[in-house]
Amino acid sequence: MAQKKPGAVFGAIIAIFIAFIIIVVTVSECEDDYSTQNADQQFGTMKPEEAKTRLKDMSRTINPITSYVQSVETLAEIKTPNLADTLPDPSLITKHYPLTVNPRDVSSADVVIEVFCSTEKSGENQPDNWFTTVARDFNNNNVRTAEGKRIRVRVRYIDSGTGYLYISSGKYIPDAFSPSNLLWIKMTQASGVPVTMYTESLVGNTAGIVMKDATYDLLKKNFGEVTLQAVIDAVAQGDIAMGYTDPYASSTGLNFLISILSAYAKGNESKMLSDEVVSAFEVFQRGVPYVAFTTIQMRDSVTKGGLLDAFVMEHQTYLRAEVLQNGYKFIPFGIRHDNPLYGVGELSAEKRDALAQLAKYAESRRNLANEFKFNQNAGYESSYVIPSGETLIAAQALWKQKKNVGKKIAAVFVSDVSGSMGGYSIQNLKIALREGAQFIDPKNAIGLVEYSTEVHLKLPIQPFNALQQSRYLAAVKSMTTGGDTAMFDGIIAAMDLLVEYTTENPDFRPVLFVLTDGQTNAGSFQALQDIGAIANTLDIPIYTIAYGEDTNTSLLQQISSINEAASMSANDEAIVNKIGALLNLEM
Amino acid sequence: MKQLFVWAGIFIVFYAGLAAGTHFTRATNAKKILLAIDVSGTMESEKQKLSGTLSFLEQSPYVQYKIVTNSPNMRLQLLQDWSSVPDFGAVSAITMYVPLSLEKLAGIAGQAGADEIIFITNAADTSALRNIPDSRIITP
Repeated sequence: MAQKKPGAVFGAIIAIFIAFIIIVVTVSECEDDYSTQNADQQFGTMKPEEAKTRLKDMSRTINPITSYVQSVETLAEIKTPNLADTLPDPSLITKHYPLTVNPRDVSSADVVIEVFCSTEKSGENQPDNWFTTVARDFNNNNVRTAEGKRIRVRVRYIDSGTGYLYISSGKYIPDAFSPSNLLWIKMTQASGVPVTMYTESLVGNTAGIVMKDATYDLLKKNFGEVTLQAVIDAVAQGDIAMGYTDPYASSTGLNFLISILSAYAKGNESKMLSDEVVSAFEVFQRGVPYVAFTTIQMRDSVTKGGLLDAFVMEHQTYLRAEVLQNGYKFIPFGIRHDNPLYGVGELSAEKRDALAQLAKYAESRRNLANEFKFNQNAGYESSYVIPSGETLIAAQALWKQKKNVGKKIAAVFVSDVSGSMGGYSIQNLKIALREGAQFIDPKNAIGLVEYSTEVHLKLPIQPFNALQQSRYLAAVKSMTTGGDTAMFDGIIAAMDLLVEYTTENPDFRPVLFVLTDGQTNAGSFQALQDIGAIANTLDIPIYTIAYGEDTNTSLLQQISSINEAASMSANDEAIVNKIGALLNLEM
Repeated sequence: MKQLFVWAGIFIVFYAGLAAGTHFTRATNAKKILLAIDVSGTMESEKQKLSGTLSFLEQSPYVQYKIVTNSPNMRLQLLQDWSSVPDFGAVSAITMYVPLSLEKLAGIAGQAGADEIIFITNAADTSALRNIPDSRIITP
């Protein structure tokens, strides 16, 4: 018997090992299944009337306290909405847009240049760090100017749209700007800031439309070849649904907008904003279920069988997305995204020399960029001549005005005022809601719900006219923190308000904005499943803004994924800009 | 009397055969009219009026109609193949929103093998359609 023991122990170990493997495989498969499930599979659906009845019952259970604000707040002078006003203060820029290359051995004898650099090449880690690597190597080589001064390069990780806003508003002027494409440079010029070209292309990239093979085959059958023109016509005819990103923030989104306008104007810049083109754009826009806050929002929609059949993306990002490598096509459009490098403002002779040397060095490292999946579409030529910066700025404004093509939106802000949101959190949230109001079109309707342990209805949904604006500001001002976090109760009460409003006003599309840290610990309902099927059935997009000291971003992402809305994180002052950008996009 | 019935029978058979032959001949050689509709943006407001505008079209077994458009979408280029009754329902479903080429419409119409082509457009410049044989232009 004693001789059998080692065998038995070995057998037991093997059995435990096999069981462990089975458990790991099962769990990972479950996770895969979960990640590829769409909302119907994950939450289920019900009849709309049943969803409304259940929602009403749940709202009665919660019994929200109606405490509508009675006061009004004086409206500030009406000004043109401007995203630059919401940018974090320049003194805090490094906190929100870090320097990914910031040499420590800088002396007063050095020539220091700072480059605003788009995020796909200025990150900390592979594969977003091509320019970061190049700039570090450049610094390590101790390159000197013609006058013998050592050059030190700083690289700031900042998206092209935000970089342009800082520069054009004069809030922060770097020495150089390397956005993804030339459109931002043209707009910078048009805003009155002088720029000087150092290279038209640091690395090659293109923007494109990504679609499933089946969608591609359908378009090929109907149009002969799949071009941008075919795609936009198919969208206009309702054959496919298309998503694209915010042209105020995204280089690809802006390129797509200009591509459409240019296609309709047949390349004639003077006609790009004509009534005929605007009218065609409005027809196209009807086939766009939403303009996305993030590329991931659109990618998930297409890969999980959501609302979208196609979306826009940069080629380098496309090549890096494993999920898109089988069963998807990439159709390039618009101008190339060749990552130009331009000097900004009036630079000294030594800075100009330093930038020229940096550009020359970066060009010598283009081969390295191949490893980062850049330079992969070298044969593609831009499909339109870049219009003037003034036209580009006007096109952005046109998009803001026409993006909803007459569809009005009823939105409720659901604000977390629990104890964990005290101090700077609530102060910055109030600033964000107040500043964000400038981006809300007055024809849209707004309401406000706040929650802690209980739910308070602070502002009934009404069109955002001057009176409603002054009530809204008063409601925001009156927000105070304390108590626990009944987030799902707040969402349910807000959904009920929205359903009531949109039932009486069917021409309004409902939207929820939930501002919270996501740490739910109170309320009648505390699980995602409580709202999943109802929100899915009633098709209410729930945008979540994770905000505060300790956020549960995973839960908030799941809430937003129910109806393909965006989830974002913001901290401190950055929330003002994030909410401003979101409202500029959606409202 | 018997002879009368025989002649009457011959007469009936003769005329029935003549009628059937005529019908068969006319039906197999029906006049083919092509309706070539410009689906440019300017036609959007006119599309509901098409059946009224074209109410003069004869509906008989001896006239066949085919409806084509200049849509860039090939699925929408042939809206109806040869049929004795023109059906404009499919035209209504097309979103007309951009200027489209009349040259393309002329090209599509020219390949249809029609006896007569009716172009339907409200374009200001119809020169591309003017020299097409056996055609006419109708403005809704």
